[in-house]
Amino acid sequence: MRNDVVVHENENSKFGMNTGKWRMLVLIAFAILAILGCGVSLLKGSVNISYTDIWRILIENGTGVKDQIILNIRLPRTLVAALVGMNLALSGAILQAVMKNPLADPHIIGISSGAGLAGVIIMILYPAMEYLITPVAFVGAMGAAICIYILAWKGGIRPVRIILAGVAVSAFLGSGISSLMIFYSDRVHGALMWMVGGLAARSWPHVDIILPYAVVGMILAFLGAKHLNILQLGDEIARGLGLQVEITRIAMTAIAALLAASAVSVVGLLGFVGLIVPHAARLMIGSDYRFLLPASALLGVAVVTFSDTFARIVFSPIELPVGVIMAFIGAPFFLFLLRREL
Amino acid sequence: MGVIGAKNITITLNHKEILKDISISIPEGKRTVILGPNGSGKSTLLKALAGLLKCSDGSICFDKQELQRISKHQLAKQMAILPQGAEAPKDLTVGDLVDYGRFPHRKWWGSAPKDDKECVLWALKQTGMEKFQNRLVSTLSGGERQRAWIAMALAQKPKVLLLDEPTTYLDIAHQLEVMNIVSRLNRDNGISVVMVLHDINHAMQFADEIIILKDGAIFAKGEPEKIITVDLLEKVFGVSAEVFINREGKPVLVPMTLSKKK
Repeated sequence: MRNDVVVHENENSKFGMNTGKWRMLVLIAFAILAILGCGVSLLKGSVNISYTDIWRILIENGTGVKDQIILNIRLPRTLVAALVGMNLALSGAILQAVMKNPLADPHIIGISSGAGLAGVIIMILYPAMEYLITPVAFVGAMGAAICIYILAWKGGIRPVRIILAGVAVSAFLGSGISSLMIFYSDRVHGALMWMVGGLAARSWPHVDIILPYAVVGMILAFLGAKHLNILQLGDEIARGLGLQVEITRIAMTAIAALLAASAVSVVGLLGFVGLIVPHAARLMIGSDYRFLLPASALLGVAVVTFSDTFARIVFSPIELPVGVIMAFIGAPFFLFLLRREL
Repeated sequence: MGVIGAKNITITLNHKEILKDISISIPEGKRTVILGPNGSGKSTLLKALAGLLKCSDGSICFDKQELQRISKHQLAKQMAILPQGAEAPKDLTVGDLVDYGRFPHRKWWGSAPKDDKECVLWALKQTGMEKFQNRLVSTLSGGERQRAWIAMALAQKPKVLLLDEPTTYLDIAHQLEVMNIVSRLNRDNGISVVMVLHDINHAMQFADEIIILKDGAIFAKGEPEKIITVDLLEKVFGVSAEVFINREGKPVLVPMTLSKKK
């Protein structure tokens, strides 16, 4: 990293954004935001627990009421929020390069719906097999992604066709989810919460569900950063540079689907994170995926933890699902991008 | 046998035969220009020579090896292609773009080879882009942008450079600039160049060898002075032209009218 800073440093450079120093600053700022987000999420809630108490509890592992609240309610919820934020943000960032589309987000183009439908089928029809929910959701997400490619393919990938195909697939799968929920309304607990994406009552079992996939997905995503950079130059240039475009595209889509599916498995259909976060990160740090991916991951953690805390305390004691907050910020942002990019 | 040899290749795209039974040999260390009317299959031929398209029939050899058997990664170290209408992300700098040209020389993960930075600097210098290193590609003028992309292709350190209409959409000064860069690369570095061009006079001035395509087949090939004639322009492009002799005693073709037949 140090070398990069020296080489890129140029006082006459009009565009500070692509200098190594600036990128490092942004990454550090995002890391601080992520830590703050997690901190606030631990600190705020219906029971007041002071900063010093939290510190003591985290270190000592006591058994008092406050300890219970922190260790069994707030800490796992914060972890789930952080991991979900990271996964959805990485998934969106990857899909934007793979689908050559600034509006690609696992929720908007229907990959989350694929995971959701598969997840709902398991939850409703085969509740005994709930431990399989993430792998099955992954199959659903991948299936949806393949459908989108097939529908949008016409001698190549075009951004607008991807979005239209995605909207259609998303609507189709969404109707499947809705009908299942209506037919089996007695069996779905908190179905509504699940449809908008919420973090209520998420605890250690949910951390266990998402954590392994988050770690593996993150490592694989970072390993693919250079390839995503080349893919951004367009298929023909990428082929000319010796990249196996089709294989790269399928592999990276699979990684994005895995990340999105594991997030959907624990919080349901949480939208817009994969859209807002990579874009905000891109505006700050540029399109180089070696920096954009970690920046998106950190910012994803920050956005979801802050939003969830906000959703919990703003109308306390009523708790909004975090998906409501995300949609509230996300929809205008989507329109802003639509005007700017397409 | 040239550096690239195509033997009886046929290329079919979307159930349409674009190229029919074409055999050519691209001479090593020379400048070859592909000419032909719109839709005659020029770009398709260039892409096929670069191994970007599958031949439905026939085979292509690069350096005496069958193209299909060379890994894409290995091939990209020796051959660079610049297709038409390349577009970079809006926030990409020239330096980063040229750096991407080193992709084929890098391992999946780990540190870059030692000569990486030198190659990037060399490519920037060859195209006169050093001072633009920190500029965004999207803020450059058309001519500068084309040079930036050529620099990216050069960073691959290719033996063969394939360019698809590198001068289209450029004003006459920038056209000459690009032609001069490419000529110099060929002369000083021995890079074999294959270009698709539209300007027949540029082709005559620049090419050691010209390939003329018409309706997906080779109409003529050879040295420019020998094959480019008023008669050929009439037959291939449907244009009647006049020949003038310039100060250097070289023929210059000026298209005058569309011929009646068309």
